[in-house]
Order: sequence, then structure tokens, then C-alpha cells
Amino acid sequence: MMLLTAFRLTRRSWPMILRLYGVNFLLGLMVLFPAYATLKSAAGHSLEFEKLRNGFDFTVFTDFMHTQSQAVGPLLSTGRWLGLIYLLAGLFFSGGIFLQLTNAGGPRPALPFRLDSFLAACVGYVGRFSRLFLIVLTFLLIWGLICLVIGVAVGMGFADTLDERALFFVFLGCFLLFAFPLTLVLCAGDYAKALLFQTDGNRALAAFGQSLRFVLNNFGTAYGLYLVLLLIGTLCFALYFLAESAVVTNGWIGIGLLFLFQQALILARIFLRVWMLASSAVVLSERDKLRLRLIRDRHSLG
Amino acid sequence: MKNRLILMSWLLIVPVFLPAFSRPGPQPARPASTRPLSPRIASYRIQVRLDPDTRRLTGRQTLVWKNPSGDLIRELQFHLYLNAFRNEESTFMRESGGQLRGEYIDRDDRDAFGSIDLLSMTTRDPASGRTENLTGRIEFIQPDDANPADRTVIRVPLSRPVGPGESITLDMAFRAKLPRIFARTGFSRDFYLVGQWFPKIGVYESAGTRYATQGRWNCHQFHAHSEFYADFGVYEVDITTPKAYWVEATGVMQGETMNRDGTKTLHYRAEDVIDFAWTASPHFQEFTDRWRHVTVRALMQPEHAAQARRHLDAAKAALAYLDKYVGRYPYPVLTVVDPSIHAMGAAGMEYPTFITAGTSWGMPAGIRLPEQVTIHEFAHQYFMQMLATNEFEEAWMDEGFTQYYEGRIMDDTYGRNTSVADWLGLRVGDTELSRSFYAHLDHPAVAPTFGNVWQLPDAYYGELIYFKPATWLRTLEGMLGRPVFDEVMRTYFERWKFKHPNAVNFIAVVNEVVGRRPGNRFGPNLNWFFDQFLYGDAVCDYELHSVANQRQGTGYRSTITVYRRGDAVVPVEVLVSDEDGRETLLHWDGKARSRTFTLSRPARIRSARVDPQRKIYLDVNLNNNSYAVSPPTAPAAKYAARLMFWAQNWMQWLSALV
Repeated sequence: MMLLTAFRLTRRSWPMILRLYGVNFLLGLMVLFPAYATLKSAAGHSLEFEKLRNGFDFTVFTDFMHTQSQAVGPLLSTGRWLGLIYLLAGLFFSGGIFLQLTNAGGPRPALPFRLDSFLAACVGYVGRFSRLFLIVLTFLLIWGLICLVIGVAVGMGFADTLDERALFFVFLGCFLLFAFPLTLVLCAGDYAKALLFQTDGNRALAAFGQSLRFVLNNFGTAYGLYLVLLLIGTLCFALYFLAESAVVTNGWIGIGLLFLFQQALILARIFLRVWMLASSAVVLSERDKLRLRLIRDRHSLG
Repeated sequence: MKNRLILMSWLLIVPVFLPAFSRPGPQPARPASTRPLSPRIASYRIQVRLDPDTRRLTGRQTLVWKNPSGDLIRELQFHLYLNAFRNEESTFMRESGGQLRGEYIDRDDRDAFGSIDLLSMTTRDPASGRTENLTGRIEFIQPDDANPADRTVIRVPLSRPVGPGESITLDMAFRAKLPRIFARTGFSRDFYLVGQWFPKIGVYESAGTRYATQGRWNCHQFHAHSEFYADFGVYEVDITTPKAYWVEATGVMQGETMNRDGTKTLHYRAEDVIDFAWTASPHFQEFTDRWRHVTVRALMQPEHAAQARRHLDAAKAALAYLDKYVGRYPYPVLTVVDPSIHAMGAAGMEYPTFITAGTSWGMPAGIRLPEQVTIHEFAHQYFMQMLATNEFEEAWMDEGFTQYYEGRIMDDTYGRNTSVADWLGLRVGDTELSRSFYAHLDHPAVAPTFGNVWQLPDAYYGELIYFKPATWLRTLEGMLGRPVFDEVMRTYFERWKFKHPNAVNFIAVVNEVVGRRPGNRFGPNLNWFFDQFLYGDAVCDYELHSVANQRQGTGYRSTITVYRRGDAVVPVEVLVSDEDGRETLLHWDGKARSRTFTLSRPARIRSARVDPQRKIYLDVNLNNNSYAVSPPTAPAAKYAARLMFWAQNWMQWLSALV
């Protein structure tokens, strides 16, 4: 029910989602155009690249990578930098996203998307969300380090006694041991953002601690919804790969169709990300007990 | 998320049922063959006992060695190859740095090392029963590198020389400690792969054998990358192990005796082979199948049992292929051993009628690594074993041919561009993978393939010995045509099996077969080819540089320019395609640095390709072999869009953190 409520909030925030997608798309174009020019130039007048039209050809691909690695390197580097830029942009936009979701939850019709108020909320919350991000990142790094040590110790401890099937499951266990707190911390991070927004709080660490406790106390609802949305994202990828394998890219129509599928997946992922934030806001606001606690905490955090 | 999909797919692909293979009882005793296939110069009768507690072998052996030459032999030379693992000063350890194929020795573990001690050696006259103790005369020698710490070769002077055609009988006792497996042989937990384990006599090359101008011992030290060169003989071996162990070995099991001390003794006989190896483990599961006269056996780890069929099918495919295109496999048995994951140092090895493969639990059907390694190691039966070339001095004659046939068998059996991998959109063929290892070297001209293997640049061993020869053999096949190439190989095999051929012998067969074919376009011989690619370091790269069309009356005057970018010279063909659909094949001797063809045509030329049938597989850049007047841009758009897509995904993944 709460998932559907969050979905409705997200759906009513379409104008914002399209703008967020626009940012992602524009940054993506910074890869597309140089990549097209580079690949076209590197391929020259060769006919061999026809073999890549509808599939993969190992010889064409590896000969190309061997002779043109200097041309491809800057493209990959651009991608890495774009990731960092988008991470900062995501940090910046979070306040605006929560504002838009709050507006979407208001009396119908929803308030129209207004860029100035969106940006004002972005500016208003970027500082505290940045501190929250550093806290989440610190937790992730510490946990990653602990898991690395545990993984190495377990691997060394069992390597001489277990067969590979048992070792596989041991490492799968280690991976889940790593993945569970990782997703838990990310989930709590989303709730902390919602909490900071709803309480207009400043204390990121306290909000994170409170959110973590909340997620643990309402494990099925809070973490369960988070996992459901992760699962939907995974299914979207599976659908994309099915579509990709079905599309024949012999000509421009096929390539155009594939491009549409790709962008549809990106749009779906952005929608899902907003849905995740919306679900954290909905879960927080629909818990009566929590509301009472929030009223108390508003004074302590404020 | 993609990783999760891969993991889920992997788990789903793992078969959950075992094929209903037959599980045979003890193998009935039977003769392997009746007529000797080989000269049977060195025959052994060995009794060996494995002590799993101490990882030691205790053995006695009788060697009957026949002088194949017209010389008086005044000394004998033997390999004691387990001494390669004796300490860190052996030539093998110095060359390998204590690692092989990514597996390392644990230097702090005394049990990791291995050794062999020859306790006694006596000659015995079978007629009179008179004996002479030679033990005190044994002397370690280092014919390759004068490393005094290397104890892998001995010489033993004889008081009574062995005359031409005469035989000598030697009784020996030895004791060996097996190393912990990191390089082919030894133990890992309760898995044993016992190779290069007994005192083995070297090869006496009489004048005219290979490069010998006068009689000489050819008995090399154990090196990082070479270990095989031996004479043929009959091996009768009794192996004693604890009863709980499943044992398999080179040759055919003749019988099994249960001993009162909790052990059992298995009797093996192998005829016309150059070596003997065996394995023991309490965990093996055995699966068998037949291909014509050959019993194919797979000894699987329990966790790999579901992959037994893959191993057996690959072995049968290789048997059928090489039987058809090279020659008959005369042995009645082939054993494929699947080593455990903790004994991967023993994976991918070849011994007569006995090979080791290598896989892992959950290996997807579309990743054909078990098939690849099984086929590769089986192909060694022809080159390492039956042709018995010298792996120390001409390793390419074993590994290069083997790699070439691995590619052919894999590609013809599992698909030309999908034989190694056909999984989640990744498609890789075996032959093209081999080529890529050579063609994408930063410096493909690093060294010739020919030469003593321990003197080649170590970092390029695989490229020079496996992949470059496989690629130039594929080029030779392309130039001659497959039927002629197959005739070359059949002739070479039939003429030289069991005789230790060298490169000169192979080239002579090539020249003979090609020379008698009508329409030979390659000159009086193909020495120019081998001079460039076997003995030389020439690099081949032809480029179709440009195509231009110019209006001339009612038609067009067109020029096609081809560059020779590499220093290799090979005759090439150029296929010209006109806009009206007409195609013309041009020939060029490939010698000049560039060649411009001028044609007058009714229509414009649309495109041109140098080497259109991809005969010259050695060409290090195949992407520059064609030229289109209006090149396609759709592939660039498709891959640019894909790069954008993954960059967008990467951004979105990172945004999940904030």
C-alpha cells in the first residue's frame, strides 16, 4: 500500500523526473558525440566493422582495441568524470526532489513543477545532505574494509579444507554479509534524507542514527520496500537484455530502436530512484508512532 | 545488477543430474597391440609404492635399453626430474621463479619441495646373471646451463660399452619425495598426479637423427617450459597404494592384487610410449565411453561429475578429428583426469594415453574451457607422444601443432566464432583467440619461434611457442588450401611417427607435397615462408590504403592502392567489388612496399579487400584489410550509443549513494 502511495507521488512528479532524465541525457551526450566521432574516424573506410552491426566479432573488436586504444581511452576517462559530476548533481538535487514529492502529496491538483522553488530546495539542503553522504560513505568504506578482512580470513581458513562448491557458497555467504549491511546503510541514508527534510533538521549524523534504528525497528516495511524496488530495477535490466537480444541492428531503424530501449531503461531507473526516496518519505510520514517521535525529535534536531 | 544476473544464470545453468554413464568394474587384462609400432629402445619394468603419509615413492625398476646407433656407447645419461623441485637453486626453480601458470610454491613449507634419489644402479647380464654395481660412478651433469646446483641429469660411465644394436639391462632402486603440486606433478591433499617420477634414460641420437652430425646423448635438464623428449618402449608398472585410492595410469590395466597390509597393487602395461604417468585419489568418480577401438575414461572430481559428458564428448571429437585428418590413434585407451581445484597446477598436462584437463564447479555450458583443454591435451598424443619431437629444442613442433589443431577441432565442433565462449553475448572462437594473443603483442617481432625453449624470452613463451606457430600454420593452411595442408600433415605423420622428426623434416614434407601439386604458385619451395615466420621474426600487415574512382568517357578509371606495412612478404589477393555487382580478383606478389592497381571499368568501384578469404591469418591488423568508398557509419553509431548507455548507467549507480 505504501509502495503504491509512493508510486503515485512519483508518478505525479513526472515533470521533475523528465528534467532529471534530461540532465542524465545531456551528460550522456558528452559521451555519445565524441564516441561517435572517434569510432567513425578510427574505423576509417574499413568494411570489417559491418560485422559489429548486429552482434559481436571478437577479431574485429580486439584488433580495434589493440590499434585504437589511445582513441578509446579518453572516452572511458570522460565516462569516469561524468560519474563524479552526476554524483554531485544527485547530491544537489535531493532537496528539490523531496520538495517536489511533498508538493505531489498535497491536495489535488498537484502544484505545478517550479524550477525556482526546486532549485531553492536543492540549495537549502545540499549542505546537510553532503554531510549525510560523507557519513554514509564512511560507513560503507569501514564495512567494506571489515568484509575484505573477513573474506580474506575465511578464504584462507577454508581454502585447504573445502571443495570448490562449498567454497563458492562460503564466498556467496561473505558477499551477502557484505551486501546486506551495504544496502541497509543505503536504505537508512534515504530515510535520513527524508527525516532531515521533513524535520528541517541539520544534524546529519543524528538523523542517520535515528533512521538506522527506524529501519531496523520497521525492518519488513522499510528494508522490504527498498529490496522490492531493487528487485524491480533488476527486472528492468533483465527486460532490457531480452529486448536487446531481440532487436536486429542491421540498419539505422534497429539501432534507433535499441537506443530507445536504452533510454527507456535509464528513464525507468531514474523513476525508480525517485520512487525509493518517495517510499522512505511515505513510510516515515505514515507511521503514527514515528510521527509522535518526530515531533519530539524536531526540537532535539532543530 | 548485471552481476546478479550473471550469478543467477550461472547457478541455473549448473546441471543437477548426472548422465547415466556406465561405471565399469576392473578392466580385463588384454594386450594393447601385437605388432610393435615403435623401435622400443627403452623399456621399463617398475614396481612403485606410494606412502601417502610421507608423500614418498619407493621404487625399483629394470630398464632394458637398446643401442639404436652404430656407435659404441661408453656412458649412459638419465633424467632425475623430480630433483627440479629439490631446492630453490635448481634450473627449473631459477627459471620459473617457483611459479607456473599462476600457481606458486610455498617456500616456507618444507613439504612443498620434492626430490628423487637413485639408491642403486647395477648392470645385469640376463644370460649369465653377472652384475656390476654402477652406483659409485653416478655423476650429476648440467649440459644446458652449467648450474652446479641442478641435479636433474646424471651420467653413468660404463666399464663395458654397449655395441651397435646391443642391449643393456639395468636394475635400479630409487626413493622419491613428491612436491606439493604447483607445477604439473606431485600431491595436493589426497590427490596425486605422479609424472616425471622415475629415473628415465635420455635419447641417444645417432648421426643423422635430427641435427646430430655424430652420435650424442640428448638429455636436457628440467626446464620451466619443457620436459619431454624420450625414446619409445614398453612400460610394465606395478603401482601399490592404499586400497581406498582410485588409481589410473598410462596404458592398460592388466590386473589388480589386494595385499594383506591394506594396500593394493595395480598392474599396468603400455606399449610404444615415451613416458609413464599415473594418478591416485580416493575421490575420483569414473565415467567411460568408447570411440571405435578406444576406451575413453574420465576420472572426475565428485563436484565436477556433471561435466563428465563434456569431457568425454570433447575427447571423442578430438579422436575422430585427428584420426581423419592426421592419422590413426593406435592405443586402446585414453584417460582424462580432472584435477581438483586445489591441484590446478596439475591441470592441462599431457602424458601418453593419459591427460589432465581442468574445470571448476558450475562452469557454464557456453564457456568451453573443459572442452578446450581436453582437446588440446589429447592433440599432444600425436606430437609430443607419437611423433615425439624434442620439446627442449623445438617446442613449437609439439605445442604449435597442438594449438593449431585445438583451434581446428574446437571451431569445427563448436562453431567458428563461438567455440571457446558463447555466453551472455560474448562470442569467441578458438583460432581467433590464438591469433589475438600473437597479433596483439606490443612487439610481435620479439624473437623467432625456433630455438632452445629455455633461451627464448620468458615472458613470450606462450606467444612464440603456442600462438604464433598456430597462427602461421593456419596461414599455411590458407595459402595451400585445407586439402593440400591435410595431405602435408598426413604425410608428415605417417612418415615420421615414432622417429623424432625436426623442423627440417617437416619443411621437406611441405615442399614435397606442395611441389608435386599442379598449379603451385609458391616457387620451387616454401622455405621463404619458414625463413620469415619460423626462423625469422617478420611481422605481416597488409593494408588496403585507398580506392579512387575518376570519370573517364562512359566509364571510370579506378585506382586501388595496397600497402605492405609489415616486413613480411606474402603473396596476396585483392578482391575488387564494383557498384554494378561485378567482382574481380587481383593477385600481387606482396613484395613491394606498396602496389597500385589501375582499372578501367564501366561502373565505379564500391570497395576492395586485400586477402578477402582471410588466408593470411598472420596479418596483425585485419581491420585495415578493406576499403569502402562510402564506409558504413551505423556500427559507430551503435557502439557510441552503447557507450553512452553504460555511462548513463554508471552515473545512475553512483547516484544511488546520495
